[in-house]
This record gives sequence, structure tokens and C-alpha cells, in this order.
Amino acid sequence: MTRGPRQGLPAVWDGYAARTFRLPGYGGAAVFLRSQVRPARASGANGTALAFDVGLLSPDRVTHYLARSAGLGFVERLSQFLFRAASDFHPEKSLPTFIDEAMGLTVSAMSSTDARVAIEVTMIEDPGAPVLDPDSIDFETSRAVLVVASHDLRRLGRNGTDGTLGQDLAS
Amino acid sequence: MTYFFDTLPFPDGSRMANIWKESWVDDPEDAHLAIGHFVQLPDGQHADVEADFLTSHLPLQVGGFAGVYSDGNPWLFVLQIVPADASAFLAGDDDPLWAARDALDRALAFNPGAEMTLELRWTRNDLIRAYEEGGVQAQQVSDWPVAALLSGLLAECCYVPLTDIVDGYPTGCAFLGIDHACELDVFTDVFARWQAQLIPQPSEPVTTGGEDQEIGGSPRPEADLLEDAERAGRPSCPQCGAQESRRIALGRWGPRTPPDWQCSFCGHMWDDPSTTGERPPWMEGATEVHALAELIALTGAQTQQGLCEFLESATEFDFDLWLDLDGAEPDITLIVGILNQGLGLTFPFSLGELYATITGLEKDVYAASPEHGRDD
Repeated sequence: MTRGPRQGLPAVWDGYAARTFRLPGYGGAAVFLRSQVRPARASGANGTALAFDVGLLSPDRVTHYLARSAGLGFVERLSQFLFRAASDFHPEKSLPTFIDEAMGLTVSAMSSTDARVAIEVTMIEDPGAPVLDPDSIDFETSRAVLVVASHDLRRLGRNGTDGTLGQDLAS
Repeated sequence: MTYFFDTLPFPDGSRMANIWKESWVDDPEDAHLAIGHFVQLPDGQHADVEADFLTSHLPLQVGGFAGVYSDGNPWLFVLQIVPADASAFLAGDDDPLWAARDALDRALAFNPGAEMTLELRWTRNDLIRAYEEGGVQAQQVSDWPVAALLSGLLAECCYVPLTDIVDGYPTGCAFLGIDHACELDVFTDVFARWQAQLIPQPSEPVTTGGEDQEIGGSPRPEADLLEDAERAGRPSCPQCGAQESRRIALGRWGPRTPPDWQCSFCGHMWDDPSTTGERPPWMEGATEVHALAELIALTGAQTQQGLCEFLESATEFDFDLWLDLDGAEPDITLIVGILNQGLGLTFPFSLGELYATITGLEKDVYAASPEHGRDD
């Protein structure tokens, strides 16, 4: 007796889960990241490297920027930024703006209360263009969400040294 | 208990953390159907943020409530109403509730880990029957819009009887005879008072004038509650209603006023301006107490338990905080367990060290010093 693919053991891809990151906020806003491995010919790097899809969501629009290269230690630096945004008393005063020029991503803390932090996320539509065209959203989220996001972000992968396969993904 | 709490399959220990409603005006020409969806949120998500996030993408929603199970996992329940002919007229779908289901499906796509696990549906007559079960005569609510009928059942979740809500509907005041800042909308009035933690919950009876009165009856003025508390010597917890409070004094509470009381039952801390008293002598220079207060303020937590939940959300470890401020010396111990990794170890932390670690941002918050480690 044979079984169809959905009746027997799970297919190998049933256990697969994409590595995604989501930072939700009040008012229906969110930032999404999804990592992918790109070969050197596509990334322009010295070797195989991590790239990221970036999504900006608000109730009236969603914009995706696909396969953006990232600067050195992007994941770790952004994770640390989010944790400090959660834990600093006044992150809008104490926390320098997070900038990843390679990706064209900027994140800054705009204001805060005991429980919430307002952040602004800006993507440059084409980092290589002579005139930079920013696309940004700002929203409030809770400090607890920022801590969880800081932790979750590290699941996306590592690009801590030079973002190439030999030194990062295999480490 | 209440219509929604009785209808939804909540396990013991579930707790409502937020409730809301939208302004909504039914078109009297349309027959409206109501639909409710129970959504399980992934572990670690923030019920308040996720509820606001999800409902921002639901144009048909009229309200809902969110909370956590006893293990801290979050859930939310959201209500939508839809004109009975909208799905067929606008989308050519025979299912009159298609529009609401599709709206939820679309919103959940932005939170892939969330899962709708239960759907409830009501016609207008179903909702009126729910009011009748709550002791309201059908003719009292027969001209209410569907959105108002749902809002009333939501307000009942704040432990205000349906009869009180219906009686207050014409005037827009749910607490007649009680001095309060009225919202001029009976439902919003209930929600505001619940969020101010001024509505006792039914688990604990309140004694008044020598007679027991089940909470869930008509709310009583704060002045009366305070009087009772003074009589008993200990105020009731404004969050859970238990009279298990004890006086505490934290050295500093960040930029805020130090709380005076803590509930031994639920851990809630609050400030009682009517109480005075000398601070214990160990308060000055009590580094550990400072650290605890600063940590709680720093993390946005409201209680010791909230601090532990915050730390657990940032790590993969279990935290327990033992706090005993009744003795001559404060005794505070934070225990971190890494049992979920099968190592069976616990580490008592120095809160001062933990505070320095978090504010210094040089180490991970769960990086215990080896000298504190011990096998369990």
C-alpha cells in the first residue's frame, strides 16, 4: 500500500522554517527582515554572504526592499541597538542612531516613556543613487517587545567579520 | 461569570490584560452579523502590542480583549461585525461572514506565528439572548445596535453586571452615584475604570458594614474601600482585590514615587497617598533595594513578577525573585534557572551586579558570575 506525500511521514521541508525577524509596533506598524545567502556573483562581495529582505509595514502600505547587502556585524549591531533602546532610560538622548550604509538602513529612537519607545526606521530606496531617496516609518512599541526583538534578531544569522562564508557562516 | 469568559475555553489562571472597543455606528438599514475570533499568539509576543497591531489591520473590528495564560503565553479575542449582505454584494461570496474572516486572514499574514483557534458567530437575536441570560429583559436592549450589544458584553468582562450597563446606557454613565470622571459613554466608562484598576474582581469578597458583598455587584466608592482597608489595617490590592498587602518601602523607584504597599498574592505594588510612616533604617544606602527598584523601572515592569517575565523574554532562562522586606534586613535573591537546557543549575544573582550589567551593557543580562554558580 502506498501513501500520498501528505498522508505518510512529513516531507523533509515540513520542518523547514524561514529565518525571519519581525518588530511589531502599536498602530499596525512593523519592520520585517528575512535573511538569505547570496553567492559572490550576486552580492558583489568577496565570497558567499548574507543579504536581507527588508519590509516596512503600516496600515496603509507595505514596502519590501529585497536582497540588500549588509555591513559588517549588521545583526549583532542592530541587536545591541534594540536592547539599548529598551533598557536606556532616555534612548532618544543616549542612543546614537543606528546606521548601516551598505543596506541603506537607519534606525533611531525618537522618544520614550517608562514602558514605550518610539522609533523611526528609514530605508534608502537606492543606496547607490547620486541623490538618496529616503523611505521611512515611525511607530511606538513597548520596551519588552524591543528586548524580545533584540534576542530574535540573532536567529537571522551572523555576518560578524567580513560577511563571507569562510569566516562567518561556517563559524 | 461573564458571557465571554463562560463561552471561551480559558484554562485556569488565564488573565485579561487589556480590553478595548472602537467607535462604531451601525447603519440601521443593514442587518449586521457579529463574529469573534480567538487568536493564539506565539510565545514571547506582547499581548498589548500585538492586539493593537492586529486590530489596526481589521477595518470591521469593534473591540476585543487580550491577555495571557498562567504560563505567560499571550492570546487575544477580537470581535468584528459585518453587514449581512456585504460579502455577497461586494465580493460575490455566498458566505455572509466571508468579509470578516478574510479581513482576519489578511491581518494574520503580518504575524505568521499567530493562529486563529476558535470562531464564534452571533445574529442580533443571539446577542439579545445573551443579555437575557445576564438578567436583562429583551425589550431593554431591543433597539441597541449590534455594535453596542457587543460592547456591553465586552464591558461585562470588567466585572460590571449587564444590568448595571443596560441601566447606565441612556445616560452614558455606568457608575451612577459614584464620584468619578465619567466618560459619558457607558462602555468607555467601564473600560476606563477597569484600566484604573478600580473595579474589584470576583475572586475575593469585600466586607462592608459587617456584611459580605460579592464583588461583581454594584461597584463601591473608593472612599468606602479605603475605609474598609483602614479598618482591616491593610488595604486591598487595587489589582486583584486580595487583602494580602504588606507595607514595603523601596529606596528609589527610578524617577517615580516609591510604592507603599505590595500585594503578597499577585505581587502588584502601589502607592497609597493616605498612608504615612517612617522608612526602615536599612533603606538608605541599600544597594540591592535600589537595584531592584531601578531594574523594575528600567524594564518598564510593574512588579517583581513583571521583572522576571521581562528577563525571561530576553533570555532562554527561568527567573525567580525572592523578596522579603518584612525583616530587619532586606533579603532579596534573584535566582536564574537553566533547567530548560537540561543542566539543572541555578545561580543566585546579585541584583546590584545585574543592574550594573544591564546599564553597563557590557554583558548579556543572564551572564552569571562563575563564583555564584552552584549545582542544584
